[in-house]
Amino acid sequence: MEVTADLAQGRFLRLSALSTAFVIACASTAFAQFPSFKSTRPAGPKEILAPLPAEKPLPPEVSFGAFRPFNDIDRFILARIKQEKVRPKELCDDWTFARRASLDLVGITPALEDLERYMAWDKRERREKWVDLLLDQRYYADRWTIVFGDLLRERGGIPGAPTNALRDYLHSALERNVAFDELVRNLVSADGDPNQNLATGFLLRDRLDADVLAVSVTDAFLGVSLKCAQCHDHPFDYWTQNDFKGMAGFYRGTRRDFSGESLGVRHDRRRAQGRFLTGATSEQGAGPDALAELITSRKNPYFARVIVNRLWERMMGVGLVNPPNNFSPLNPPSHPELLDWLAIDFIESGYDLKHTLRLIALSRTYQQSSSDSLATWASVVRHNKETPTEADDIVPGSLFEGMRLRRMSAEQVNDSILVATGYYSQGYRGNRPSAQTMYPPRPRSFLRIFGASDRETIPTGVADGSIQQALSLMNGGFVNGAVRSHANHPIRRWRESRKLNGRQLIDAIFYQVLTREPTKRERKWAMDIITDSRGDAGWEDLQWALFNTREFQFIR
Amino acid sequence: MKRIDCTGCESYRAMTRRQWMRAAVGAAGGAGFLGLLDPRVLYAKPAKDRDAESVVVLWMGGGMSHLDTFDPAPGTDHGGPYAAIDTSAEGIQISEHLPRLAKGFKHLSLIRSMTSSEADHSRATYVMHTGYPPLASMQHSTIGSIIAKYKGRSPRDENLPPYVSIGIDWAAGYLGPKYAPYYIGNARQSDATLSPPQGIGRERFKRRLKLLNDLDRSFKAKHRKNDALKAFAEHYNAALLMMRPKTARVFNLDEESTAVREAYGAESAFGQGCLQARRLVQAGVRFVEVSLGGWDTHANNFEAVAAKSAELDQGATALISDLIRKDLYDRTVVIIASEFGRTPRINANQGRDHFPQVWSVAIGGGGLVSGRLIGASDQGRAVKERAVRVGDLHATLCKALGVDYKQTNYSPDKRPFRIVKDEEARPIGELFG
Repeated sequence: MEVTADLAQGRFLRLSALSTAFVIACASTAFAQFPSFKSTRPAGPKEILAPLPAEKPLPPEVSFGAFRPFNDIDRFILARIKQEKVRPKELCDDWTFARRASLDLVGITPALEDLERYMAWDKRERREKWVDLLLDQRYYADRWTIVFGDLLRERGGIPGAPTNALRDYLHSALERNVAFDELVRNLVSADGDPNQNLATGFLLRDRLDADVLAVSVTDAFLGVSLKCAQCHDHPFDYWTQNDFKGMAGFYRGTRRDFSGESLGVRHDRRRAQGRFLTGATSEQGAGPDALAELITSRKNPYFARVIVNRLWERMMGVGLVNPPNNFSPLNPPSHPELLDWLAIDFIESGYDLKHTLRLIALSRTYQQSSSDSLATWASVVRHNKETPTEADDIVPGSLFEGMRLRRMSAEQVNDSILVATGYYSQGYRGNRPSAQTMYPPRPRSFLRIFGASDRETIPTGVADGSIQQALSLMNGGFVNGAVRSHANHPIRRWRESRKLNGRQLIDAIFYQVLTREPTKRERKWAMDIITDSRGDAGWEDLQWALFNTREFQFIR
Repeated sequence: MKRIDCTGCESYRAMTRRQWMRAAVGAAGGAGFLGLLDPRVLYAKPAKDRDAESVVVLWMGGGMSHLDTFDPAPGTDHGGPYAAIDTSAEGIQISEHLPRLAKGFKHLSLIRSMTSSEADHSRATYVMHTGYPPLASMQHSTIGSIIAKYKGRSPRDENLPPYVSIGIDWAAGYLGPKYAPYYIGNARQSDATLSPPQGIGRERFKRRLKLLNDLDRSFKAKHRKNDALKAFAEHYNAALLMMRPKTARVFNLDEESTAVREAYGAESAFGQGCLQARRLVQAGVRFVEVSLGGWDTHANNFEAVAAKSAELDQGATALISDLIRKDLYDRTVVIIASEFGRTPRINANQGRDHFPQVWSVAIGGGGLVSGRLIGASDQGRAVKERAVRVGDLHATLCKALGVDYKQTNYSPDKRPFRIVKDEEARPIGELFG
């Protein structure tokens, strides 16, 4: 009540102490200023997600003609598609699969050399071997460091920590495929000298501010946004300012330690006073160690569901729960049993990210052809013969009866162009090019124009088109520099070491950029422009044109 | 399948950049790719004599303190240290830090009774621009896209995009990419990508485009119905049209004299944005938004607002006087707006916090009545008379431009959206003679 009274006069608690990012994101609504709304907030114990069942839900038996399930994921998906009387799409071809899986798992279009191996494999085991090859590539860690970097708002420059501390920590953990629960525990309860323990970069990124960390941790690992609760009690939501304060309490004793030789991060457990969102308690007390334990506990109904949903969203283009940071009984999953199945399977695998990614990639669901007409709000509601309301607001494609045609992310466009043209110097760990960029990318940079995350607000980047992107791809210094015949260009390598002739070179470029062979007509158009040009101008024009096609910029 | 939305307020699901930017693509028709566009379809019907042709929104991002700019309450506990000064409009006083605007205020009217219930930046900004609260599944179109759709491309240069946004970016929403704004990040730096790079001559560029057109064919044929692909083509078309030299020149501020550039504030991105806006409406662009951020003054409000006011004062005054001088003001509506005001209470950090209960918007030009005070606040603390809501403001804009605000548009999946959501909304009568 006191809190509400304060709010009625427009006082927002501790707001000035928060970082700009969170002030911007801070969702406060004027409803809070009318006490009459207060009664609509659910009273009594908090309704949280149901606990994960003790065992995996049984995948439904499903017979659907020629659409046979590849693994258990497909049984859940096909059963639902059948129930909604929608028809699933055919499987995509091998080239499409190679390209899609490569962009999703390692973030770049496949290299010519890898494609040659792929096509040489026996057709029956080709796709499985391809997924294993990708998951073993060093690019894997690069790709997922960007994904988790967006989620944790990683920045290259964190005061008090070595440059790129958090990214180096994530990269190394992902490279070793550290169990995800362990990774999260290390981040959430990081302490000690930042030079020795790079995971402290996560806490230092928000200057050890307990309030900001509460929002950050809860959003990233529990899929719950506390941005409103930070400032006031939300009239229509479960989470109150009291819950927010409880989560922030875990970090109340977290300080820089100025007594030792270096400025370490230290947790004073006596000052910590955390209360976990779900009401669960820990024998480890109420500090970051307890928080780490409570988050990653098998009994926490959020943690495993939230991460498998994020992986699903990255692979499929839309989450089972959407948006992925709104886990709430009010926002049920499109496929609740599949979500639980994936979560328990993930736990049983030892929180193995690669295990779940592999499972998704090898499902029939993931291998369907892309479609331009997936079931939408209108079609599903019409099918159910109900009058649509705003509550029926479903995201198109949530039945997963086919793949969405997705626009590449900023990093996927950037890195695919760089790898295809060799337009980079060996740098950061010798890995893929965008891994050399210090995050967040500069304003007006290629990555930003293409929607890379600014690493300020928690949600990640976007992949929508714009006029600026078209101008940048046609006229920008980046693409035009990359297609030029520079010393590191693979065309030179193919010409010199592989002794490819003109026609073979054209084919190689098509494979490298579009992951397919050119058609006869396309080969002729390419040949014409090359023979009509002086020097390497025709080769430049060919690559320029390929990078500007829709086919390149979309994941089919 | 059903997801139950937290009806009426979803702010706990704070809006993501994804939502801001999501292009709910799929404009009807789908014009041809790369120069196959027929410019005739882009012409708007000739406007009636009395309708305004263009809108310039000067967007004060972050929540401009109404009490320290357009709605001063000197001598009260919460009024802050600034003095209020007379303006050339009878009975209107504004902050001493807006002296130039004060001198020319007879060309503007002032709404002192804007009100809403959105106190979160992203939500309030979204609502002020689209008239709708954000949804997770789709993006509404901004009033800029709507004006662009109904007024069409410039009658003087059909290659120009109808909607340009400077310093603040918006997706097209359900109206599709044809009506998305061309975004300029910083008007002080000209966009080098509006022409092919050095060494790529006209002939070579044409040859590249021809090859691109050829190579794009099979994929395009395979995905004829895909909205995202259509959007892609729209963006390339718009980009290619803008690259024509006569059109690209409109974006080159170097064509202005040093004196003019300085009049707008040579060092100010906002000032140069105002100059860019003047060049754009002169060339017939329908909707231009120029953003001046930094009004989120939770701390040190009085230093920050004085500095921001100086930038606003110079840029906005230069714009309005330039438009008057060039006979463009009568056909251009100019608005100075923000997503909300700031609390009367001055907090411990000498700041003011978010306050949607009441704030102010200045509006003029486009044949609207000027020099008038509309609505009143109780010393900046609450609406005292004549509440004005975002729907009223959008309806006013539509009426000024001769667009029927009661029309309904449909998203690609056939959901109906009225231009102005609120059926109670009305144009502000006092602004129409």
